[in-house]
Amino acid sequence: MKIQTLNIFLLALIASSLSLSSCKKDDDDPDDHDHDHEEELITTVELHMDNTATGDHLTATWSDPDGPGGEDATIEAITLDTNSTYEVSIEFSDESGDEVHDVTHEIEDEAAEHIICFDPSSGELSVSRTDSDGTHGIGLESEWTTTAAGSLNITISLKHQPDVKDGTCDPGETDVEVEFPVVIQ
Amino acid sequence: MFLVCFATIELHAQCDISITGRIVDEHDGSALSFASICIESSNKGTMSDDSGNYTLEGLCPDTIVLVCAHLGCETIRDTLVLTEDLVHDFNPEHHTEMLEGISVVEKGSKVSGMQTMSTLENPELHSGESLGEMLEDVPGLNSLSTGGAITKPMIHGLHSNRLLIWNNGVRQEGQQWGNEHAPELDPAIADEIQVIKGPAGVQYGPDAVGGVILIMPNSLPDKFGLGGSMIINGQLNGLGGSSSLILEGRSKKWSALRWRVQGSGKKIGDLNSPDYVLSNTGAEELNFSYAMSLTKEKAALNVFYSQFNTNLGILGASHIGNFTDLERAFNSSVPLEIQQFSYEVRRPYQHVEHELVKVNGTLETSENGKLELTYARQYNLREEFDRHRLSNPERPGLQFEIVTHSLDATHTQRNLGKHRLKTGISGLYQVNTFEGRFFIPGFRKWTGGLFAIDRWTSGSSIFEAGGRLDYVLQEVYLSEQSGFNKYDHRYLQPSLSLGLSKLIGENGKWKLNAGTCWRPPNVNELYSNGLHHGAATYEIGNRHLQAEVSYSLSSGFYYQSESWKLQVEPYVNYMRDFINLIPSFPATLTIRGAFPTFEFQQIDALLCGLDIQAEKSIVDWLKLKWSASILRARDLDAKDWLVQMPTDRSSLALSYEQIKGRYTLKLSPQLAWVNKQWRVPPASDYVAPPDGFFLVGFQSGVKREGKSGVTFLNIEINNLLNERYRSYLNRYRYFADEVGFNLKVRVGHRF
Repeated sequence: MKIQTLNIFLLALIASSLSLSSCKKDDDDPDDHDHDHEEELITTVELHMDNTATGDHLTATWSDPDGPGGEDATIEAITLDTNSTYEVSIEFSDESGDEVHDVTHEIEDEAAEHIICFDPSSGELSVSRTDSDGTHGIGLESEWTTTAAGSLNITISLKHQPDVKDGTCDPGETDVEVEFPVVIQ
Repeated sequence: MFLVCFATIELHAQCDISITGRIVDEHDGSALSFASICIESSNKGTMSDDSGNYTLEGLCPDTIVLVCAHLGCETIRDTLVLTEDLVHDFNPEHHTEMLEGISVVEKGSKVSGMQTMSTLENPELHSGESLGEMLEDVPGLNSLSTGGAITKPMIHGLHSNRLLIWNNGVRQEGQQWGNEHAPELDPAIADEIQVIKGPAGVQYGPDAVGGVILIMPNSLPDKFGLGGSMIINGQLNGLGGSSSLILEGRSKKWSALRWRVQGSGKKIGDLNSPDYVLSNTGAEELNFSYAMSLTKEKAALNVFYSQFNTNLGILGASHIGNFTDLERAFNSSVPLEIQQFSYEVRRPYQHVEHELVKVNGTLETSENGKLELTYARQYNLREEFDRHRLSNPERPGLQFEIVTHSLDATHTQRNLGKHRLKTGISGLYQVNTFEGRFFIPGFRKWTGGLFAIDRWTSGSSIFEAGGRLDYVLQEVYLSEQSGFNKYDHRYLQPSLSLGLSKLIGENGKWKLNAGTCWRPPNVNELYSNGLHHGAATYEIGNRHLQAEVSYSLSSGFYYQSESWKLQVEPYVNYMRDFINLIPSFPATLTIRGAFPTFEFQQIDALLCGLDIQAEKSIVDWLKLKWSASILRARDLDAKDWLVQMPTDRSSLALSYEQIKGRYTLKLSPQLAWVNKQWRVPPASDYVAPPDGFFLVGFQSGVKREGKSGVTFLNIEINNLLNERYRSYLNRYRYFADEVGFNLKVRVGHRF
């Protein structure tokens, strides 16, 4: 008798859950182009360089507005004077959409999770970060120092290091890694 | 005159098959009472009653020899494959002289008995494990894993879209194309898991080029009252556990109705390798299901609903942004991110849901005919929460939703002379959408298939021949520079199979199966175009891919005596237009740096291998079990090896079992050896395959069978020596060591 009651109870439970659990649905259609396909991209890296002695202003841009694949990226060369110091600021943006989306502010807001790393391929150019998140450098502002004439490359990378930032470039994930050719003359 | 049935003690779980039948004199049709019916090599037996009827209940799925003996009659020995209840009549000849009669009857098998297959019984002893882990012990099976939580089963080197999972009578549909997409199901619903090793497309449809995994829940209870089981697992590594509860019943008042509810949950924290925490490798899972059936004489209606929900952590150190990160990870002997142990599943992680609703009806159309109709709807959600900088913390970087409707009708006609004919028709409609980062486009898919399988007996042999024709239409919606375009892909392909199973002498059996099976290219192989973040590769689909066709030949030799059990299964699988990811040049330059580029191309491939299992009873309480499997997989176009194939492996286990009254004690130390994968094409991988390894494990269990049910305690130790090793088939081998010492304790009660 007891089991009977339990059976009836469980049946009621099943019946109610059957009626309650309407199936999970997919609200999208594959042929509806308008739904959310937004991608969060960085397509452009722009360098602004001021010669501290002469005040000369230079810019160089690495850009791939259609994102990975498709058209090739365009890369501008950097030409620097020998034995000079430059104050450099770096900007990141997304030019893939209709409007240009500035990403630099978001990096500033989350400075403790980001670091920008500079890796020149030879010793005629050296770079140091001049800004700070309070503990470690960020790299949005930096100082570039040249010595003798030469031709090299500089690799600039943006690392995302949530909870693991330690001032080095090792931890975390690379969001940007671009290479600019540099001529010092 | 009466045959002796050897009394061995069978302690199987959920053995609920019954055989009923009638013993009638072949000449005058009179009922024969007091005939002895028993199962050879077992303690099961009964006598026919006054009307010649008999019933044997509580039988386990197995191949048995049913012996019928009657005074003055020939003794009849029939071989039966037991997978469901069956009716088996005997018509002995009433002679005064004894004749040696052997006839082979075989019917009622759900699964093709011609193919080499393995059964994982008592999956509850693997409770808490994923499907991939559960099946690793089966020779010829491996798991392709992404750390400890994400494992995919692999049969003879093939996985993902080359395998089919037949979940409770329904073709499981999800996002199986990804190497890091684990099957979207809870194996706790299974009472038995069967694996068909080798192509099996005729009955199950396209994609089964590598094999089929059948997840089989127990049939709903026949006995009145309430039954069920409860299992609790705990594990030391990951400091977590899982539990599963099943309740089922049938009331006398409404005896037509039988039901079951089931639920399971799992929570495991970060796993540990011998030297460090594998940060963010925890997992959580919550699943439930219910089943009901209404039976009325010749018809039955079954309803099944299940839901699977999981969050799977991805090792932080393995989620890399570009190739430089990957190289940095390779060059570091320890993962570049090691944090304190935590239960939290943080980004990056996967969230996966799967829902199945199934309605199934069966009708006995005649004495030997049965019609079965199944409709199923499946919903699968896969969300990948990347760790990219700009991601909204609430939203995944990538989301796929796939809805599948399927309708299958099969008709089985037994006793058409010596033939059993199974025919069927199936249809499927599927819609896939994505949100977020592009990796594969949205699509609609229609498939339709027709099949027929004939099985007949002749002497001591069983033959089977089957054919199938499938049509697949895929409509792909792609956003391109020229606009939003639709592309159609159509495939029409046959599948064929021929099988033979022959008894050799008293103790031997031989099986041979030849067949062809195919699969259409998957949408990712046709259209993927993007960065594969986990692998730091740029993958490019190829929209000109054709169907991949497998031609296979497999065989099995089985021998069983009182002290020996042997199983040798060689196979060859030639795959025409095998879809393979091949490096292409130049590397793809992106703002994250340059990525190695891979393109999908078709090659011809040859996979051949051998699975061996041998068991020797030293004394009746001590057994030694050895198994080994080897596979050689060649790219016939490049005349080189195929990548990502399982290595040679072998395992040895000693098993001590004592039964004292109601108690069974089992102790089993185990040793496993896995070779280094030497057979890889040169420069095909970022890092050389890791070294081979030895692992020591231990299993023990105590079981008590009481009036109120069966209670068991099971203790399992993996990697007893806390060995540091990396496995070729685990993608985390680039980043971290495998999981170290683990102790698992399972307590269960079944009533």
